[in-house]
Amino acid sequence: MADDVLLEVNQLKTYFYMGGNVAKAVDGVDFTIKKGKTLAIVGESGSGKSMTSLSIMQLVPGPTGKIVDGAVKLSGKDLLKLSDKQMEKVRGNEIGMVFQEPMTSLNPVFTVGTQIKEPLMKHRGLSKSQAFQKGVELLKLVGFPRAEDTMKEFPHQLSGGMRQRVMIAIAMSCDPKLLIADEPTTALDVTIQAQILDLMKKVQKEFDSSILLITHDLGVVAEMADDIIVMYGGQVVEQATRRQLLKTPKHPYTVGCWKVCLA
Amino acid sequence: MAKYILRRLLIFIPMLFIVTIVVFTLATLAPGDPLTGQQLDPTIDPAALEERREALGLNDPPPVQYINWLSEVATGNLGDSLYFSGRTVQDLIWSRLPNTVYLAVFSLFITLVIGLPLGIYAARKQYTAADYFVTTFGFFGLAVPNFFFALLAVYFFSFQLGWFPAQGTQSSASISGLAEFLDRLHHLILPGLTLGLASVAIYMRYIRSEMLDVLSSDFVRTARAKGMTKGTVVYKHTLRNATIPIITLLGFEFGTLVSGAVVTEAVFNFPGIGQLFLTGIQNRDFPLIMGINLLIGVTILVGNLLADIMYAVVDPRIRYD
Repeated sequence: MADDVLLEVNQLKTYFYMGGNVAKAVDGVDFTIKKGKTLAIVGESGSGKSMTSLSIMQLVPGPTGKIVDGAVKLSGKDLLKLSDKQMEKVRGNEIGMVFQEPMTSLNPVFTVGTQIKEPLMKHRGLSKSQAFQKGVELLKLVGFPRAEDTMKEFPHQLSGGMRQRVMIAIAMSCDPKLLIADEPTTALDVTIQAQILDLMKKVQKEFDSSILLITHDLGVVAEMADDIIVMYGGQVVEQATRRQLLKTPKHPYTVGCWKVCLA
Repeated sequence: MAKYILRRLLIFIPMLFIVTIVVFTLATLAPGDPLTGQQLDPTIDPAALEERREALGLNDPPPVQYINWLSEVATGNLGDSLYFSGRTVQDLIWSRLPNTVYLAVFSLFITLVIGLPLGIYAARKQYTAADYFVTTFGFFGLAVPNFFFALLAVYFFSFQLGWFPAQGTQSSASISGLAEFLDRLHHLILPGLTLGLASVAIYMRYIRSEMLDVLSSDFVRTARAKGMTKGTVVYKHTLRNATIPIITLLGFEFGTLVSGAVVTEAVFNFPGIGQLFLTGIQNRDFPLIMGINLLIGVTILVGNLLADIMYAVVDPRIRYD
């Protein structure tokens, strides 16, 4: 494996078994993400983008969903071979994740502070007060001017855009090598979308991390991605750099997507 | 929060009034009056009965009777029992209430200690043999009537095995201290288990479905994505969100625990409020029935008040001001 590769996914297969039927949500996906770069996975609903990202985190909803084959190598270490305990140390620590739904992604009964301190105390071994300080720093970084107060607030007191900022702060809290963002701007309105994308670029620079960006919004792709893969029916149909893919899409499905987008 | 509790307490007062009106109206609507039974006795002169009616105020129009009753109740006097001659209703209630409270607390303890862990376990092992077993056990518990279970318990554990006493609350009035406590506990086990196990299934099924609901929510996925251990995810992030319906259930249960043990208390000949209530009904002891009804009404109101306060404690989104 080349030195500049952070994540390498080989022949990843995630199937859902429901009443004798098998739904191949992810069916033999290959890709690599380079250090410090952004890879975007695009595709329509049900194409397997989200399941690919959840498979990397081993958060595929059970008991029907299973990763049946493949390898997910983070800096050369195959995550699929790790035990549950070892995987807990990867999640939130080496890979951070931001989800599509900021309104429901934070636990309503705990303060922002409690939720941001958790990974810091677990993965970084910080004390409560150290974790609080670090939490305040992180919140300031993602754009909360009165971060000390925000730490004591509950998620329902924040707007959708603010909650997504909190989610990014949590995901970046332990300085992960990889940030997975699963449609991070889909649920937000356009001006907030732009702010969140800018913020993601900012933290990527700050922490020198790679981003796996899942989206169906080609505008976001054009803005953010270095490399792009296009998924359809659980498979990768095209893989290229942003420039290549936007200028000369090869696969008919990609061409179709672009036409719809530009129409 | 303090403002909210104060406001809830103020609402409590008109509700209490409504409870007294309902209790009184139900008692007046029932056919006959406390002296009806004695009319069948040929040795009693109907004129004397009529005289007693007049003396007791039973011939007054209902609103007047209500005002009279209420003004006595307001001073803490629930009236004289007609069946237990020479004793006041409040005196009778106070003598039985401790037994019922012990039974209620013990059975609730059984319910929670068995029901909640089973429900959480079933939710964590959804669709496994263990889950099916626990769920089936739950249906079984719901389907078996209380009195039947009580009779089985008495038959096996008292008569056959002789492990527990079949009735009463104490074997001797002369013991005290720890010995008395253990003796009372020994007497409580069978009725407590009967009463407690009946509700286990309800709590178990509530917490199971609620846990399953919360376990599939986005914020639980977030907690897992942060690398939290399974224990933290289940007992910290999920359980607290899943307890809200349990609080509602407990609020209702609070009232029924005082009254709801009628059948169980009867089977075990357990001298509690339930048995007193039954005696009152069988003997048309109106003051006693009304007194106990009032007590039940008040406990249900208090239970709901406590539940409302608990909601606000558990879920910060619930603020009532």
